[in-house]
Amino acid sequence: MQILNERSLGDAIDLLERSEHSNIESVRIDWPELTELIRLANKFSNPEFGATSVAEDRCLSALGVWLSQLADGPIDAIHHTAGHGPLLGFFEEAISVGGAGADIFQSQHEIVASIGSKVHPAAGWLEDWISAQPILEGSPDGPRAGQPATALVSKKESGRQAVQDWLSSENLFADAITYAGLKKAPAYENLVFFGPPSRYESSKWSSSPDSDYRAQWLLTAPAATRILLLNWPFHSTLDVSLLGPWKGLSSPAVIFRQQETHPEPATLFVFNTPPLEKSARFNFDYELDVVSAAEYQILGKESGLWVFFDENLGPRPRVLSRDLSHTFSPPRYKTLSYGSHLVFRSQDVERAQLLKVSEDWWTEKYKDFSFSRAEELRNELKERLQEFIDHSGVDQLRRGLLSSGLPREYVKQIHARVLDQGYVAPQSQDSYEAICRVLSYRAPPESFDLLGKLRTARQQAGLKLMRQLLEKLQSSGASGLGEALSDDGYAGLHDDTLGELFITTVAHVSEEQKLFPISKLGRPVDEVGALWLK
Amino acid sequence: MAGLSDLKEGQEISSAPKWLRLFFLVARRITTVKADGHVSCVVAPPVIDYFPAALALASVSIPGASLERPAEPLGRVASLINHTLQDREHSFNFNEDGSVADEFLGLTKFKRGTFPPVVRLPEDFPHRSDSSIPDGISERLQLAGLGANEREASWHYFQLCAEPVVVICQNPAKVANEISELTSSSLYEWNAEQFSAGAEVATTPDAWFRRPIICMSPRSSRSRPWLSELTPSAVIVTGYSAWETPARWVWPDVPHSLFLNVRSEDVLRFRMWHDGQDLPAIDSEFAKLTGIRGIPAKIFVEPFAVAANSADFDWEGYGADFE
Repeated sequence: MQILNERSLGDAIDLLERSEHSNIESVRIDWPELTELIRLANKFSNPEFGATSVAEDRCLSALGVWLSQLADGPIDAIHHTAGHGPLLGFFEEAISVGGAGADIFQSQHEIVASIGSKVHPAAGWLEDWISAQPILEGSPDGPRAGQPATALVSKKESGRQAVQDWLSSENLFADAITYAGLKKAPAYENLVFFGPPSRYESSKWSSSPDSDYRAQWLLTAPAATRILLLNWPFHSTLDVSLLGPWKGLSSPAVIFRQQETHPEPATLFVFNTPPLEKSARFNFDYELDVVSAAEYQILGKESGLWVFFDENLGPRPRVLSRDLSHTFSPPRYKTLSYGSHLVFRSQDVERAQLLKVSEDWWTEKYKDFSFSRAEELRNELKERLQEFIDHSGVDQLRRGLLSSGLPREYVKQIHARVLDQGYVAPQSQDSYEAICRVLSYRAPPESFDLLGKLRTARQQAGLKLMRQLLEKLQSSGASGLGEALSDDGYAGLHDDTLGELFITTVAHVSEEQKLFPISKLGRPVDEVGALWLK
Repeated sequence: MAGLSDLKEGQEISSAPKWLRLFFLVARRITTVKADGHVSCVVAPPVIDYFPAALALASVSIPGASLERPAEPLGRVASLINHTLQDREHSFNFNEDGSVADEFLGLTKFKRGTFPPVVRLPEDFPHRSDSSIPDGISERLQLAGLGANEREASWHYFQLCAEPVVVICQNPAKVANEISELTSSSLYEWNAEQFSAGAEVATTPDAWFRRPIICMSPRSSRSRPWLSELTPSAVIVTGYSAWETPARWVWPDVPHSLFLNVRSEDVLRFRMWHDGQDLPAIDSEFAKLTGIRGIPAKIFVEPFAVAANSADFDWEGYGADFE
């Protein structure tokens, strides 16, 4: 028997209003390696291969499972739910059979291993997309007050868990839910689906058009104002003719586009001669937390300037677009190209400004809660963590967190993240409580909620400041930024609100990674390793 | 094409949200579709909750024809006597001058020479105890100008009950609850009839002549052959499972509105049934209705002959998924 009124009248009307005004976009993400992997797998359906052995069948079947896991979100290919490790083992067994497809298995094995060492190509794109949404948090009078306004929808619970881990590791303010959970959930502002709706209903027993009809409501009666269908190889193509509760009804408008190839970077400065690599006298022996990061030499100071970026830690580079109208972040694993222009802001002003704007935003939205209390709690966590590391060391911390059941990859980075000035607190309550337990810190009961609010306030403030930065760039583009860059390769802009903006050119890309302090990642340093832009 | 702008007459609905105006349009115009078959309107809102309830309320209106004074004894009747809804034996004779015999007047306490409203009950109609009009409803109807006094206002309530809006649904209590909630919500200022109908909603067809809206399960039509002798003012069906039962053939002459639960198997099942069918064309401007964004709607007609097949329906297997 159905439960009485499990959905409120307000929720039902909210869902309708969103359906009335929804905006649907379908974006295709390139993933050449996966395309090649699927092309190779399809070869096995050719009769020339004849019967395959048990080991080969097992490998192909495991490959299918792994691919379907990767189809369920921007999931780390080596996430414990994806089965990457066992799959590599199955490939080795299949290759050792020495059958007609051994070469294909060998090639596939290499591709699968390579994919496992990289970030999911949808991850970087989606990170930008989520952060760029105008509404991040549910409205105060709605069912999602104080909660994320964006949700990523996975088909399976395992996919949801993997997506949740990714969201937590990237500190993104979004929910991960399953398709089944979405059916009962109140509306979101933004929803992201992976592949066409039919994927969420397809199974061994149900294929097109049945699964299209079952899942068509995702687009014809969307549970959000903004719907994004993110597709990559392995996802089937959306057939809009199968949408609608009956034949003959005009399909909802879907805007299709290819992955925004990260906008072309501007390259205004022409190096007459290849720039010489300058030698720096970095000495980071006294730094406790260092990572192996990519080194870039940039223009702006006679004796040289450098910046280091890590795939997982620290700020991401902001690259100036060709039309100088905006900046973008290339995928984390992609090397910045020589000649492109990077945009930096003075850190002190940025932090002060971020604090001020977050407080203003907080005062407006959460007037019943104390902003300074939330800041206190944020700092308290950092101080206690620092104290623990000083006394017991990072390894002891990691051991404690691992024994709490947190994923290894997460544990590896979490201390550096928490200590980062820009970081608030873990997004998942389980992770937060695990850290508090290891630190023997009895956090006040309201702390997790306040820290969540603080994160939202900071994200909103960060977005606001980023928009101001873009406006500044646009107006500067019109007033000589282009000339300054083409003449000198760098330019400084002053803004009373934003502080100093520094736009420079990548002059040299080091082939090798170097150990670099986490605290200075993403910030220009001079030849002795001192921060150049305060 | 029929649009919301076509709806100008009657109740002031300009303050209603667009989707509710669509429902008023369907409620008022679906009866104008003339076709040789069973007229239905399929509606697909984003969720199944509350929207059928809203159409039920929008469909409530006092029938145009007033209750006629019977020319001869009717046998068992439903009536309104002394503000109480009662079933009585209508076996008295008229006096020669046309006034009502004393024994009935003693029961009604009506003014000599008048008569209570009476509607003949079908044979086998269940015996039941008397029932009251919900508190304050007669006053509310009178205040709205429906009747010169409270007694006449009560007659209007009885008229609503005589031709109720029927909702065929899997969970009558849930829909009844939604109707009550909608009635008291600030969403829209329902008129006095709609408010009266929504104040107390019945959850069994045995409450016919007692409440203006009846929510009933499809299965309850099975053991009540007398239902087809009565005529509802509108029929709303929630979910394909309820619609595919023979319950939709109890009143083939009354237009039905079918609400699909788009988050269930409904769309698959409806499309499998509907898409391949060669349904008769309808010569009606209103039948071009397509609904609004968020609530698509479509009018269709099934030949009456289809009803014969429904006798084979497997009631035993019905509803196993939700009961």
